[in-house]
Amino acid sequence: MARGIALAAALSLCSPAAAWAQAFRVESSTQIQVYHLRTLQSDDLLHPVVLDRRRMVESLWLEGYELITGQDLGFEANVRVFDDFGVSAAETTLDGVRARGADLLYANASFRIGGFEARAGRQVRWEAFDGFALDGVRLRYRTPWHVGLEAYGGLWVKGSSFLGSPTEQLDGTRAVGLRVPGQVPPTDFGDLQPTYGARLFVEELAGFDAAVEYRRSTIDGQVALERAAAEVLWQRRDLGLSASASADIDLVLRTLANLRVQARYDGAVFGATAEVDRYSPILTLDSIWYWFTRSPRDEASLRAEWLPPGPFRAYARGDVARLTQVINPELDLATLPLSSPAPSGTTAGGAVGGAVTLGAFDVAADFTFRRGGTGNSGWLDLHGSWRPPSRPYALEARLSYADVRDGLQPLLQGKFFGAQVRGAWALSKVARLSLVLEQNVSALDRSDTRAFAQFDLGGGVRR
Amino acid sequence: MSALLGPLLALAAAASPGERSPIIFPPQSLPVRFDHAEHIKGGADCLTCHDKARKSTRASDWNLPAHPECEPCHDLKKDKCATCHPGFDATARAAPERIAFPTANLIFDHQVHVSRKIACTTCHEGVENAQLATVQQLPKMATCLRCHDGAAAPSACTTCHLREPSGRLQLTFTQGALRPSTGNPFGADHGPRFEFNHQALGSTARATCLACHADRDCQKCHDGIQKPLAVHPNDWISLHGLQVHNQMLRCESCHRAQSFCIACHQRSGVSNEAPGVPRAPNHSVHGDLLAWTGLSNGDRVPMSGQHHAFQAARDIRSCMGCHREETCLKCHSQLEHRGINGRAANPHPPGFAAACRRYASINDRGCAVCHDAAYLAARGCR
Repeated sequence: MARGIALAAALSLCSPAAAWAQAFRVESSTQIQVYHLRTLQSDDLLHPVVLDRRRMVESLWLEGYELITGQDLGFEANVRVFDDFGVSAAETTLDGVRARGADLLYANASFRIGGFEARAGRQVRWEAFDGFALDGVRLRYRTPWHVGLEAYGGLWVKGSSFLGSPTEQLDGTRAVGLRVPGQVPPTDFGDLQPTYGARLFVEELAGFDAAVEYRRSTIDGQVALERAAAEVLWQRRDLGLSASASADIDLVLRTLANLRVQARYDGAVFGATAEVDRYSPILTLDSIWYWFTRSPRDEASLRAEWLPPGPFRAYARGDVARLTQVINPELDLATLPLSSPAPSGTTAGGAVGGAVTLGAFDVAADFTFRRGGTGNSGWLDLHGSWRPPSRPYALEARLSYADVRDGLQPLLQGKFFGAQVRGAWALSKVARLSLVLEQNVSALDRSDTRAFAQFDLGGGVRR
Repeated sequence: MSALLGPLLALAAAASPGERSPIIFPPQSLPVRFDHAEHIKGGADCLTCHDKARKSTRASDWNLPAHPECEPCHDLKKDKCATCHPGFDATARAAPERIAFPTANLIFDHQVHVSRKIACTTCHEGVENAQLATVQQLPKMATCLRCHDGAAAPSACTTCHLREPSGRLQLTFTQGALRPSTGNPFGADHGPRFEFNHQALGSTARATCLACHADRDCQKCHDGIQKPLAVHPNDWISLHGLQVHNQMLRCESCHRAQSFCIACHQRSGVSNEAPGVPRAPNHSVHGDLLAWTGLSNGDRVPMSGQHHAFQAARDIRSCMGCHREETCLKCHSQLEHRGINGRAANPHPPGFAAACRRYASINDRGCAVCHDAAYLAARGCR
């Protein structure tokens, strides 16, 4: 039996890879943002703090496939450079402020043959409830019997990594090296963070996909994160039925930290989704906040979608969320009478929307609302676009109206109006220029104009 | 920025219910009269007219009948052209309007299916009762998946779908972009607000997503520096505080509190913990500051439900977006000696003390932020 499995595995590895032409793809996107940021200050509402944003971001994607003829060997990379000319020199010294820089978000080479896949380099990995970037190696093998194993190891990418971005670093501790004078930091910002994990999975077996996985990360010899997760997906594609569940267990606290259970029906005219969630923050063990609180947020939602014959479709969604709180009973707060009750930790809301496509015109409307202890909000959006066929240009517009009252920030309340107009012009088959003008009006902002410009360039060659 | 009207883009390419994708099966023009049911009733079978399908190996093969297939039964010299070509007058026009039957954007091999003795109506459902066959008699993906389940027939997406050199599906065609719509058998309908609803599918059916999407597609929205306008419309900057409190979005899917949010909050003075903050502390954020801290000049004021402990216990993330750990240490650290009445307020949850020795054996650096070595040693943590 063991020999049979070994032979089948070997055959699977040696099966000829699907061949396609050697190909390269280059894509770039240049975005310019010009606007102000205003912040809420009770001291002087007539003279709010205004921050300039004059940001330029250049993103570049490079991809190559079948670098060796007949072999599924390729690479993918994404690098970006950015500069916010609106950040003053003094502000650049603030902890976390990155006025300018270069980030290598991912750059990896991959090789596949049969059911085996290897990927080496900087790579982004999405787990059930979070994602991170890894400088390392990932190996994956799926046997012919729908069962497979994936293992990875390397260094968690942090802001201090080579061309590293803090976008996916573990949260809970400071971003960069500035320290409060006189205080010795528990770890050095530049400490390496070795990380490894494994995932045992089943794919497409009698309608089931399932996986169990383990992940561990350390800093300077001590655990920064240790979690286990389980996922299962069941589908009856002929009936349009599916159900899925994901659970994330914090092995240090020994708690069910995150959970998602979803049931779904996808019919030709009607769709429905019911979901129950539990979310807890995923923090590094080096953070004091990790040890302070573990109260989850629980949610339940129901969504229905209707697509009658014709160009119209609509949806409705309702949900309720509850923030739980556990106060240490040793604290006076837990024993002394309160002069006023704590605001409710429950909120409820929903959304309704519809869209219609009439030739080159698309029109859509969405209304989202929420009420509860953390505040009330109603948000109406109207979208419209015109994309004449065989023309190089397109126009889009969006009108928004929001009526909000923040339960925690008393200054954040009132009515907010906004309008956006976007024009896009295809300069050629591989180049497109887009301009967005945005105008906002509110008691807070009074009048606020913003401008965005984007230039996209992309193309590929095959040999 | 192209995500400004992302949901609309998705809708534009979506097929209506009961219809096949216009991207997979581009619109046809069939200016002919034909009755499949009548022909079958008259004794014809599929191969009488579509014999070429038996040897067809590509979707681009022309398997529709032409005059040679009609001639065995129809006397084309006697029968009027208008029998099959309605409105055509041979005295007025040289030729009838041409049929437009674009190649499906699929990989399909009729020969393989015929050799496996799969009846034509298995895929071309209802054709035996149809008059003129249209895209409605072409198979839906759900029909294919009845056999292509990974056991009876291959289930890889690229078995039928065209692919890019990367091995992922080709999504861009001259007819538009291919996107899953309502009724997608994988539950992958990219319908309205899909950008807010794709977590569950992305988590449990990663292979399905990766069949089409590269890291590039995720990164364009999740890069944490650009502003995807479909997610953050209009005056988002002013309004985001409430959205964070309500957690209507999963902010952490793109942003880290301590490396993203805090930067702007320090610049603006909302947060004033870091050295060098250029503005005076902004105490307006928490309304009644005395109630929020529970302190007045170091003395306790009557406790109220506005005390920050409730919000911190419920949603520490909203604290982390503005504050550094140093904020909490002022009152909660044993080392700072600035607690209430000289005693640090214990922020740990119930049951913490019973497990703290084990916690310290895993990582005691968090302990050392607030507790000195002697304290930890006395409790056996070091």
